Amino acid sequence: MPSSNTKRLKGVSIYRPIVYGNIAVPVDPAERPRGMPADHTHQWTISVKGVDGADITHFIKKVQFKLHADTYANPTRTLEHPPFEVSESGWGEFEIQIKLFFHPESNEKPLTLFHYLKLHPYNGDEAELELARQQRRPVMSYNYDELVFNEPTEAMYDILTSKGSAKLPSKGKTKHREEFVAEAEAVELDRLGAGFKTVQEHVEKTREKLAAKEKEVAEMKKRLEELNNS
Amino acid sequence: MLKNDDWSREETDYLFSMCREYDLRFPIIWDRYEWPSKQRSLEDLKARYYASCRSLMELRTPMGQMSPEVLNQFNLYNFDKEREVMRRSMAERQFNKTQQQFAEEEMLLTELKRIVANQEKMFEERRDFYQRLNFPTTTGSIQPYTGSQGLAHLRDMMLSSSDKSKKRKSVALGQGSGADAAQQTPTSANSIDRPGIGGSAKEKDGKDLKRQVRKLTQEEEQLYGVSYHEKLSSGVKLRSGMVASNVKGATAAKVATALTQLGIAPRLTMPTASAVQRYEQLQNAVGVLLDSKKLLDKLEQEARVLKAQLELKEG
Repeated sequence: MPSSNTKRLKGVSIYRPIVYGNIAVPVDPAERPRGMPADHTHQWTISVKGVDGADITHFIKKVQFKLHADTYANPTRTLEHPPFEVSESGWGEFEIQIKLFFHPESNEKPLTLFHYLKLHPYNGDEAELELARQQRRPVMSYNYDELVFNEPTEAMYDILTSKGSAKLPSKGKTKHREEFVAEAEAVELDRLGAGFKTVQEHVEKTREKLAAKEKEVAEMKKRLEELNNS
Repeated sequence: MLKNDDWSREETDYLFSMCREYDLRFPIIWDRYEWPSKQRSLEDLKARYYASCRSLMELRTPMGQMSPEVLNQFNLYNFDKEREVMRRSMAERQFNKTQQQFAEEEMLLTELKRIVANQEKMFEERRDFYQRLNFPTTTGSIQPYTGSQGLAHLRDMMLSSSDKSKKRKSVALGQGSGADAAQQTPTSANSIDRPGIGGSAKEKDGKDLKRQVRKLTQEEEQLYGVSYHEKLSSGVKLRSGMVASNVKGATAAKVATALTQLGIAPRLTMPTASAVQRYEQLQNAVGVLLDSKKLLDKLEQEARVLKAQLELKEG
């Protein structure tokens, strides 16, 4: 029997990593699938998943994708079971609204996030982009994020402390070609750390300048006073 | 003591002589028993015989002085006529039952079992349903609550979702059942379910106690991403949206520009807890840097003015 513990646990925070985004593959005019509208240039799939294929069904009940209403018939696509993904073909990039629904035990409202569907290469300089276009390379645009359950209900706490994991996989140990690994976090932390260091250095320099200027100003004030008095 | 309004001395003597003659085989005694103007049943005879025996025994030795064996005997002679009559009539009825009646009885028993089992299932389902009502989704329309039955559900839902004292809840429910009596379907449904709700509440309390005891090891906390904080706003959030912005308006734009100059995108690639923390740290530092630069600008301005004044005086 499902537990009816709606009491929230004060001060407790639990998170789970998720990955959402899309992959798009340009359509080869020679191998255009039958039934695809003539103006569609890409096949794409938008999805919400766990890191490295981890299960997310213990906290996500269903996922709703809202596609471009003018282009797609029945633009609201709801998925109650994994994989939480929608595959379509199209010609344009647009923003997709993703609504995550949680299990009733969690007593949480649905959470909405947005993903801008990427069809065209966007990483690298012009030459690289051109090469990617010519080779019809698949375009991937995935985002890492974490769902933070602040003060979860007791029932949700039970679920989140018995299933799944919050840990990021290590680079060499992923089952899929996963970009969101522990090393990626380390790189990000290093970059932020380096930025912080640079800023700190600037702050230090500015402080020194400030001190010097203050001294200068104080001296000038003194001299001005002396001149006024004499 | 031996006297009995229904039994004369002579008839009792006759009974005892018969008992002696047929060696206490009561069915035979009853068969041969003939006393004018009296119709005695087997139980009548037995009752009279045992009662007389008990009385005689007690007359010969008072109960307090009887030896254990005799007392045992004395107690064995305690014949309950009513019960014996009932037992016999029941046995007789059982004996007279036809095969068909047996089959019917068996069928009824299984039917009863089935109903009881179904009832439990129904309770379960109803509990489930009520639980669902505890978590109203915001997207749902108000359509389900428009009927009178729906309103009753809504009321129950609101009562159970409010964390007020249970006492108040039960009082309110008690009043509610009176109002419900007018409507037929909800009444029966609600009244059946109430014990179920109470039961689950009790169960919940039990679990609460257990929960408080439950602690995670440090490893488990890391594995499941559990952390503890002083202040939290409850609810589910995206980590990327949890970056506290301690800078506002124009300064925020300046901070963003500064970060871009540092080669740090406004959006984190890996918005983990530590990344968010570092990002905030960085943002703070940039804020401090901007503030001190502003201060420096002011001082420089002041210095320029002073310098001009000095030059004027000295020159």
